[in-house]
Amino acid sequence: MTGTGSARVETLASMRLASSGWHFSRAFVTHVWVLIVAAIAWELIARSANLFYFPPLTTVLEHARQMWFSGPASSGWLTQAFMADVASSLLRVVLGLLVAVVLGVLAGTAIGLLPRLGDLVDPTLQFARSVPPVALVPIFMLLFGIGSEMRITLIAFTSVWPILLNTITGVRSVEPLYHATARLFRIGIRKRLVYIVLPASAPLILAGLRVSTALALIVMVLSEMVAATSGIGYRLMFEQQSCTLANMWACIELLGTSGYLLNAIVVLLEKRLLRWLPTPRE
Amino acid sequence: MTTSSALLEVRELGHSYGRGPGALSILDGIGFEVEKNQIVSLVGPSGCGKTTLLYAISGLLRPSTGEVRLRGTPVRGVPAGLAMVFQDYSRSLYPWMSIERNVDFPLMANGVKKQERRERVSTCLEAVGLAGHGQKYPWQLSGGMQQRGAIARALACRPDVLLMDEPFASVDAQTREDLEDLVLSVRKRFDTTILFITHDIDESIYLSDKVIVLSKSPTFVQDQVDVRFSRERDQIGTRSLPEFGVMRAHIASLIRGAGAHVGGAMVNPA
Amino acid sequence: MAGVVLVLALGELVTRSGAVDPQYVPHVSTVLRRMVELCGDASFLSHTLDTVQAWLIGLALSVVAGVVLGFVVGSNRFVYKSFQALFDFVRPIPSVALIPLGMLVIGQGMQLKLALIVYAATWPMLYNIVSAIRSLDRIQQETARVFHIGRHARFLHIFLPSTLPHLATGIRVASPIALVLAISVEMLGGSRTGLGVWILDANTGAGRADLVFAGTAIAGILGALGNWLLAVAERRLLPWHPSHRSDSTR
Repeated sequence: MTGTGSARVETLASMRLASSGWHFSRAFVTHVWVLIVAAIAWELIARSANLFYFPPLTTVLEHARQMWFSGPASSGWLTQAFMADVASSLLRVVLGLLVAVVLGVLAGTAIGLLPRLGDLVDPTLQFARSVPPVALVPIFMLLFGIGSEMRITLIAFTSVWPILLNTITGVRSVEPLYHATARLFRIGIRKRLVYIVLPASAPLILAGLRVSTALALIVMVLSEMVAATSGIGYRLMFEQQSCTLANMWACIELLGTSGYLLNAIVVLLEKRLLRWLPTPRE
Repeated sequence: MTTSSALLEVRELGHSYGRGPGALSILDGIGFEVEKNQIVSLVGPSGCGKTTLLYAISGLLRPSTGEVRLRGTPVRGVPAGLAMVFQDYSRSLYPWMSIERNVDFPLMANGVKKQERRERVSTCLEAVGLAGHGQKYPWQLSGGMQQRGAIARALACRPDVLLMDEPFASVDAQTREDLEDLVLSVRKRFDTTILFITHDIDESIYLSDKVIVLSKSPTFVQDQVDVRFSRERDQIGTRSLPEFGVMRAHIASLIRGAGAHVGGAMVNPA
Repeated sequence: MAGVVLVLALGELVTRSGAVDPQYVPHVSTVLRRMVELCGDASFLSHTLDTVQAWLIGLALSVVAGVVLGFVVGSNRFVYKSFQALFDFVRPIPSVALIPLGMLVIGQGMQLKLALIVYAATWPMLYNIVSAIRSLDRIQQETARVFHIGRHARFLHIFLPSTLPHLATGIRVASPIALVLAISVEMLGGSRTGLGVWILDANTGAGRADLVFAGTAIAGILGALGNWLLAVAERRLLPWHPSHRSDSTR
């Protein structure tokens, strides 16, 4: 009586889980050996050749520790410099992204649901998102100075496009039968938006968020490198101009790590919100 | 104008797309009635606008001509008291909601109180045989179970009339028989009235009290066949009855021939 | 089209209304006029040409690099798996963060621009080529072999058509990246010529807001033009392929 199908699905899923344990360790090794070898190679080559522009990895890490992680235990070993350089920058990125998400999803939903508005606005949107974000820095400097608001606004303005466009596509491509079913069960438009349109578009919106996050980081660094008095981009330029290479590399590594972490957060968010997606067969 | 006692009346229902000489006529003067607690099937050749008909009856589509009455009131827009089970369950059940949530959602959206919702959801899930599977997401269930979920969702609304659009077409034969029996048990338990669309003649005879045979597009009613078996039916027993075969042959020949409009004459069953 | 006109008209109204300071936000009509003027300005044009050159050459080089590397990485399962970790670790580093390093190691000028463009734009190319190779339909290949279709013909009629869409996507993603890197290098002092240099000059020098807006708008048009041309080319050359919609930048 109950589907044999469901039993089959369960077995497959549990089989996959069991085998993945073994696969995990094997995959781990194949993945990581490159990194280990690369790290060792960097260390050895940099030490022996004594390249000025490429200090050894350990030196870079040591400088990074000195700059940012040698503070008092009370503040989690973070230094003042960390706060000024890193914390404030990342905070701006997060704020800018939040604004971008809210605006992007709201506007995207409206545009996606109103076809005439969409037709009207489409070409302008296509143009706006093709503007190279870096080219906007001078205008924003002109309009907002070089403080925090400028950065947050700039980040928001440039990061909104992937989210906005993906929201529009997502909303437009919601399965028509979802709407028909909702109309049949006499579900009002507001509930439809929140419980049907938004979740149905969530995969696309979150994919857009992933892209926007990478974009936001780039824009933040750029704006700080061009004109700023603090922040990690500013630090990067400063160290470059002082020719303190190890510090400069530390900044680069920090940026990479920040980018990685931000991306990981979004991926985690995706996993949590998109639990309901059928897991693909490899 | 005679007022009918029927729960659902369809009168002179017609629908075409477009206007003028290029207009495509899909439905042409369809009329029938469904009494309370009946199961009525609509059978017809493929492409005969069955789904358009069901959409018109449910109020999702406004027909070009004719009208539909539910409990005597004309249908304009989707009326309260109707629920539908679609053929494509994978596109009708919401994938981001568990089965339980799917069943609960229309009730929540229409303001049913929490306590009552919980009761209805568990009753309906149990009635369709999904007790204990409520927490699962649709993709974790087989096709047959998903369709059961869709049926539970429709039932939870306590509809006057339950519409079913070829609900078992995408399901394997074994499961289909189980689901057909489920429909019968549901009618018995909940006193539901059911309008059922199918292309499977055997299924229509097995389930229904009345089979309405449709023609090719532009669709009209070729015949209405009363099924006089008792309501206690059995997959093997009922289907082996001689009258079953006779009705099947009759309906099949109508569909096979799928004749042109012959002045709307009704042919009595042999 | 009407939408664009509407937006511009709206902008004109806002800038004329006095709600914003005309010294910082010039009238839309003024900006448009400047843009036209700049198209005849020799100095501006030479700067722009410099940027465009770097953009196009860099893009072409990154296509080559991406294809070659993509083949290497994509064809061998072990190589692919191994390099995934490398990708995941190096990719998050924003390419623009390497500009200061580049300035030290390579020095100013076109070489710097090209080097950074190639670095940044090769990643998406590489990613797409790898995915193209890994998704080669085995069944298509087998079918062809069963029908004794020769290697040469197989390459031309099966391999290429299934790889080209990925290549097209890669170029479409890499192009705006290349442009951004070119202008970024210019704005960070990595080059004496270029659109980025020009815009920054207009901003910091005389503080001519109308020129800044005009220059930026032209940069935007360049970007939009590039995207549009690529999209059109893709549609023309690959009409048989279902158009790529969402998820084009991953």
